[in-house]
Amino acid sequence: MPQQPTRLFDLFRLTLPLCGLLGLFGLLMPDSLIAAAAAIIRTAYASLDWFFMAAVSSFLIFLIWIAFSRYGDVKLGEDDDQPEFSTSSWIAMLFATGMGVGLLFWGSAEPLMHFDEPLMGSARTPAAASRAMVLTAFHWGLHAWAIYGVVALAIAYFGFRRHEPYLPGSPVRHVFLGRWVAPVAWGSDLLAVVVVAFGVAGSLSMGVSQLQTGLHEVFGTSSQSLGISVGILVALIVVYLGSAITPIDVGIRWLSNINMVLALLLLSVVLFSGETSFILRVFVTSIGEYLQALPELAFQTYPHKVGGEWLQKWTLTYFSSWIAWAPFVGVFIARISRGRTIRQFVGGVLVVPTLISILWIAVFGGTALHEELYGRGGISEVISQDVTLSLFTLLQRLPFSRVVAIIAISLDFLFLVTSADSATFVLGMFTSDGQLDPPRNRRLAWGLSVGVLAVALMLSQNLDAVRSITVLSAVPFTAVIMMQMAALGRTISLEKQL
Amino acid sequence: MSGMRGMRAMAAILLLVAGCQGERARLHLGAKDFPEQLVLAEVVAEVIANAGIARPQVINCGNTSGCDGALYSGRVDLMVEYTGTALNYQGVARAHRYSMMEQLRELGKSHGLTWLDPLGFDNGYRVVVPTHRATALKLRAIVDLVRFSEGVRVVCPPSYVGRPMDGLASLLSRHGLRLRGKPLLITKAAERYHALLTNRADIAVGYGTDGGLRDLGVTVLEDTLGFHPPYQAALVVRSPVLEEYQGLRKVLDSLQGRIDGVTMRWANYQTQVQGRSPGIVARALLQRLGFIAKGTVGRRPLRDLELVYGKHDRVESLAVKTTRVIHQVFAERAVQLRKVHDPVEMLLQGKADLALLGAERFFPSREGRVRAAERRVNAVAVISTRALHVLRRRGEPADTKPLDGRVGVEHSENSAGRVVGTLLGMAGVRIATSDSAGKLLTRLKEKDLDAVVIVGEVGDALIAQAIAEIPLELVPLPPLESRHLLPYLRPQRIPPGTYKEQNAAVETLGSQLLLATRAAQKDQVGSHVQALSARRKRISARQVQHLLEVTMINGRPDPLLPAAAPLHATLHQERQSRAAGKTSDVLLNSGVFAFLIWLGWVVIRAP
Repeated sequence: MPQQPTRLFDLFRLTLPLCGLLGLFGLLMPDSLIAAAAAIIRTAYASLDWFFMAAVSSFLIFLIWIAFSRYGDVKLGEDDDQPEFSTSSWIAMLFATGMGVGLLFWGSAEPLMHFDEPLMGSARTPAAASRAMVLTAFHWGLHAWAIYGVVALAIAYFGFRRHEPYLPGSPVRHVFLGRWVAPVAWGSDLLAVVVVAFGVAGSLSMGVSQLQTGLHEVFGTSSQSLGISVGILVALIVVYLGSAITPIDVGIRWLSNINMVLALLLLSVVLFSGETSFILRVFVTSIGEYLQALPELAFQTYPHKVGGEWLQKWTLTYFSSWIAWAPFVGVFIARISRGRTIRQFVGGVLVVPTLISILWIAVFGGTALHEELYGRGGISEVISQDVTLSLFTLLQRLPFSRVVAIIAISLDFLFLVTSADSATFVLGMFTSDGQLDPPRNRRLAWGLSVGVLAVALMLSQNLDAVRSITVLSAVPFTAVIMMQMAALGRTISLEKQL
Repeated sequence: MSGMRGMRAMAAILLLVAGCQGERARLHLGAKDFPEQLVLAEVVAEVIANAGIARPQVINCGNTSGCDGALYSGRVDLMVEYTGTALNYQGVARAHRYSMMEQLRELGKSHGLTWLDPLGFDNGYRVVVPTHRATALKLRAIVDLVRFSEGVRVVCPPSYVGRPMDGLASLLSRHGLRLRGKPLLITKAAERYHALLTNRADIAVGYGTDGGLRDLGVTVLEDTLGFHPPYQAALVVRSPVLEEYQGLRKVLDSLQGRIDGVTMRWANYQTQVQGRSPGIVARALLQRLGFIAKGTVGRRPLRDLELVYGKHDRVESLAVKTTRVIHQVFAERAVQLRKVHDPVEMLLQGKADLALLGAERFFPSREGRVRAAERRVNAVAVISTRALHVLRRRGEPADTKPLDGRVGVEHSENSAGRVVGTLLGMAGVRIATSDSAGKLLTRLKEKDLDAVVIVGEVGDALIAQAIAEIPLELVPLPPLESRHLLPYLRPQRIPPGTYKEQNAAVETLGSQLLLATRAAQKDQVGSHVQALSARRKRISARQVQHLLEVTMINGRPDPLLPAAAPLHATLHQERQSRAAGKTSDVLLNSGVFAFLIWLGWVVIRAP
């Protein structure tokens, strides 16, 4: 029952200026407003942390259930559709989509931060190290991918099998009736657009400072100069716009392949030139420890123990980021998964990226922890001064350090480019009634707007505005994802063929 | 297709990397389980790496038998060993001093080991007593311990007890001593000396290079019977390795005789007492020896810490002490001292990491009224306590009230001076003048003033000098009602004898001098992500804890002051800070429940 989305307002003509307005607002946002926004967020977290935890864990449980149920054989597409991409390509693209800039840095920094300031137990002991790995895996593993997976599954199912447009509001539109449907669905689309636009602009402007630090470490260029920051940002914008002009198969696919090669190269170099067997031991052990700790971590909100603040600072912040990125990553995953059965889909989306993330964390975090526990140390001292240095300080300890650092910088640059590129694609999709291939000028328009927004944010140094918007929108978006999940659950039970 | 090509390229690169690994395996450098060995291992590794050979991998091989076993079996290629220990391990009777090295070289040949010339220090066992005991009982040599008729209480490393030839049993029997009670077995040198100094033992057996031997008030007893053999440290290398790596011998020989006992004690002091990491101390040691150029400690220089203090606050002498405290926690960070007009402002603006503040600076006052504590700044640790010294010329009649005449206080640019002015002003004392401390004392001497009130540490040098020379006397601060308005002023007792001819204790008021930092902004969500953009960071909770431990002797920060958050908040504190306002809590939660119920109903009802 495909239906035309009842357009209350043309999304494109509304959201583009809206984003601009919000951007301007963010630029000039006085500190008192930011404090107010932060207070709202804090209140939301303090009152609803149980809800976030339960919601995200329920996404995971839902996915596992649906994969094992008889609906696991349902194809995302027509019954006779073959998978659009070969399995290896599909996995490579999943990897490329999910492995973002964040893991590049936090993979080495987060384990050290947990190691240095653990919630429980003594700091800087081997037990703290093992716990640090588990917590990092928890934040970047199954829960993150469950969030993306539910959104992706909903959009893929309703898009490929029920021929709805590829919009976050489509599942709701398709399944439910009532006067509330249209505004709620439209609201979801609007929210998704705003969140993706700001999220990407924010990550671009943060990425600039990371790149600048990296260049400073390797080439000795200034780490404070605004000129260099602007230069880097302009380079980023030019490259991703260039890629945005080309169709999806060319620009993004090519860049993703390079990304993957570089990432694997970096991973291998660090793995094989460092403490190889130690890292691999950490990898294997962390899988087991993570799975063991998962049932407890998935539901723990510390009513009887100290940990509430820690939960807000770490876990909930991550969950909000993943939820804010879900429309973007989810749509992308959906896009590449035509023809897969639900079981394959869940397996691919949950298991593979989680394993790869844990491997990445084991390699980088494990190396850092080894240095701190058994080696020369000094990395956590650097982190306490500047987090972005953690990766480069670590890389300096390895052979071929300069080459490796250059690879890391290139990887960082390309990740930013691909995520900006795919974001403009997704934004184009959302504002063109969910077409699979949005018109090029729309994509360009979004590309330029996101670029301008990023420049403005970087110049104003006002990242708080972005973060406030991202986190504030995570609260209602959780509700959106739950509605998608509900719509999916409801519709899938109608699959009578099985 | 492009995928396949990419795969092949990657495989080639991987092979290259792996291949580079296998061609020249890294040397394995063994280190025993204690800091001296770790430092020496790092030193040797660094020297080898600087000479262009692949940096050896430092392997912690446990205790002597573990390490020597590893050396023989080839798991370890080289290590620093002590001559006496090595002979002991092989069960060879202790030979005369001159032929120890020859003996080892002979034995080494049959095992394929080469002993290089000694590094230059002797880490033999030493018997140590507290200096005051040595002076009191006139103890000079170990044999003098027979004066302990009931026997001696001993503290020593655990491994000392079991040694057959030169262990505890032999020591006692050879010198005709008796053991009282069970020996205290403590591995860590610093704890051993602490046990000795707190009278849990009469003698401590330690190592000649123990860091604790420096300025800790202990004396080494002479080994007149020559009981303990010298334990010269030297490098022992597997002979095949020396042949395979040309240039290794030359590199290792460059260390011969370079590290003397003083240097090693210094290095041990850094690791054992100061708690710095072996790698960093190794680098510093190499700098001292001139092997590496200055300024290359650590691969990248960490940003300096900025410590600010008020220009007129008279805390300069304490600034140096504060720097040492900071160094104990922040190894390898240089500390920049800056005098500023308003240290609190510097902290809030993020222009300084730490500030040295009197407690009064936490309570800004406006128009003479004290406001509530400044919560944006946190007290981290106490550096010292300062007291209000009421001074007048010696020889004044005892019954005159000191504050009735012309009273001088420090000028209001000095934050402590401001406090005194406020305190006295509120108490109705007439203040004749305000000036700098030095000038006040001069004017008191010249009879221009009758009394001055100066804030300073107990035993402050300026005050002590003035009291001795002018001469002045310290009088108690009369009880003032107004002190309740300045709650951070606590009763302070200046003990008798602190100043010249001060025969009685003097009661006055005092306040703490603290190390402070900017408070964490509670409302920052995802503050660790904030870290990506913040330039000057707050010190971490762990560092706060460490600073507290290091300054524990000075007491904890006054509970009135906003304290830096402890690492582990109590459950109660967290519950309080976690509680959202009741209305918002109810609204949000009922909203969420309404949503969930609605969603459930929408899903379940028939289409």
